[in-house]
Amino acid sequence: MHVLKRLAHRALSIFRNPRAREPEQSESPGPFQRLPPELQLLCFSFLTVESLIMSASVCTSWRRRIPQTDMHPVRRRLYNLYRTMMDNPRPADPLSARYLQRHLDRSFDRQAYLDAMSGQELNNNGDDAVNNIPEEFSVWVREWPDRLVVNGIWPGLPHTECLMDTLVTGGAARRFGENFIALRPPVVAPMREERPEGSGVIVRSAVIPIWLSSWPVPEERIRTLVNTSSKELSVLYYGPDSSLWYGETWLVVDDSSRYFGKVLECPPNYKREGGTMSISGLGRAPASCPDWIRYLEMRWFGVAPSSSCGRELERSNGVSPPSFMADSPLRRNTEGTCIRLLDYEAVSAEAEVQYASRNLKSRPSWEAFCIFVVTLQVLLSTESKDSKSHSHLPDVLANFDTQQHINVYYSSLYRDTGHGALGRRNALYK
Amino acid sequence: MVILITSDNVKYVVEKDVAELSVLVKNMLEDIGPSDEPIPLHNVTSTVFNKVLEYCIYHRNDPPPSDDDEGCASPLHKYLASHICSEWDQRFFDVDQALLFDIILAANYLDIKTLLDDACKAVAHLIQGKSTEEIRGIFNIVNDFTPEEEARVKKENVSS
Repeated sequence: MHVLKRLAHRALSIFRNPRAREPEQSESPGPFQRLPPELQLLCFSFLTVESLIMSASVCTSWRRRIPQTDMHPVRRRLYNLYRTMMDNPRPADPLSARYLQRHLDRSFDRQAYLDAMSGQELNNNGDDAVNNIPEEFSVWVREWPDRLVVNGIWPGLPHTECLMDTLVTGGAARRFGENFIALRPPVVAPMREERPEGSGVIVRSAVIPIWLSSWPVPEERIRTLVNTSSKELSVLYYGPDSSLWYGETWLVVDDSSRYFGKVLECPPNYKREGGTMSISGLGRAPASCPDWIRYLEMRWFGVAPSSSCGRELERSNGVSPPSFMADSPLRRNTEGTCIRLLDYEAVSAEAEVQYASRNLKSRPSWEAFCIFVVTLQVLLSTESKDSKSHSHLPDVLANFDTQQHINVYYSSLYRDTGHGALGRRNALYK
Repeated sequence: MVILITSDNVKYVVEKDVAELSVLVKNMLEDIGPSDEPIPLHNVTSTVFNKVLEYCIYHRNDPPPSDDDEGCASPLHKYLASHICSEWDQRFFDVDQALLFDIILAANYLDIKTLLDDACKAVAHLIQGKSTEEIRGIFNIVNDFTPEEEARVKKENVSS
């Protein structure tokens, strides 16, 4: 019996002898390729997501093996997300690529970002410090390749406040709003939550604000409010508060919340309604909120979650706000389903005016008009002061009382944003 | 004391607790019972075994790895290559590639789980943060994609 066992050991060792296997690789026996497959897989299992992705492009046998690797579950999901993105590509987008190339912070310290997040507390009494960052998020921050940024959601991009959703690129990923996720150090903010559900007890749960968005109210609603005068349109459309919806995307990092690890959409106009994330409050959370990776996947496809907090209440008021996750960032351009990261600086102001005017001529709409006006303002503000002649501007300009439009538009816009989106956000939490 | 003989006929006298870090040796010892019979290690040369022994002696008092970390909230640490970063381990694995892979094969044959994991982590370290081209260079791997595959792979690597 013992002898048999020993023989079995030997047989096994011969079986494991790599030299006897893998005949297809015998002609280029790199030392790694000589390892038997199961040991290669063991090596792969320690790779980060980024390295797994890289390794899958090394040669055919690695490409075959990487997916068979025993990955940590979160890494597996991130790897699958990458595969999903590759198998469902978006149209080529040179502008986004250029934006990333220019603005990605290559020295972004991922670990420091996470470290700065944990330990933050809401009350300064230590009992609600963030001590458990959702793994989907922390692994993503640590290991996701920054060249694969989804919709501009990445802490290593500049923190920007986008005053508009433009333009040459057809509108999209860089939303009208602000990428809170890029605040460094990251901000941990309180969310009001009824806990336990139905108890009426409101506690503050820690969330990371991911994004602030705002949208104009739907066009059809505008039309009922205005007559044909475009000057009046300006005021009404971008008038203070009532004609813009604000909403934020949050990741809940409070492990005592039932939403821990979930991405929530804060109700539009959260503050105005005094909402709370609960059944009775304004912000009834959707039955199933996506976690971080699912959220990114949704962003890639532009899918809205089945329901969104606050939507029902708004509907009962007779107005349906846009789906928070899908509508505003995922406008489709004329070619099809392009979802793009806008780079406001990357294009010349003149090109934007020309694009906007073309757009306005070919598909006149209120939105096209607004975009045109804004591009114009940007151009004028970048022109040297003494240059009075804008002879290169499109003829269409002559038909507008340009300066007046701009003034009206901008005064309302700036009045509305006040001290910037962050200031407004801070006011919300007071 | 246990007597071990490597494939190139070098004889080692090793303390039992060190030798038993190898599950293979441990099983064999159990099988043959108390005896002075030397145990042949057919797949391990003395060069490699020196390294293995060095590792086993250094780590002889480590707590045995537990298979199920129930108490640990995140099993991620098991998958992190960075967790071999003890200075001693780093120096230990700072060897030429051929030896490193021989250590992996020996650890696999001798069934020393911790050494196997750590050596594989050291390999992962070599891959970590490298581009495809660099990885091919490090391991002398021939790019055997067909032109079509190559084009697709390239596209994946630059698209955003």
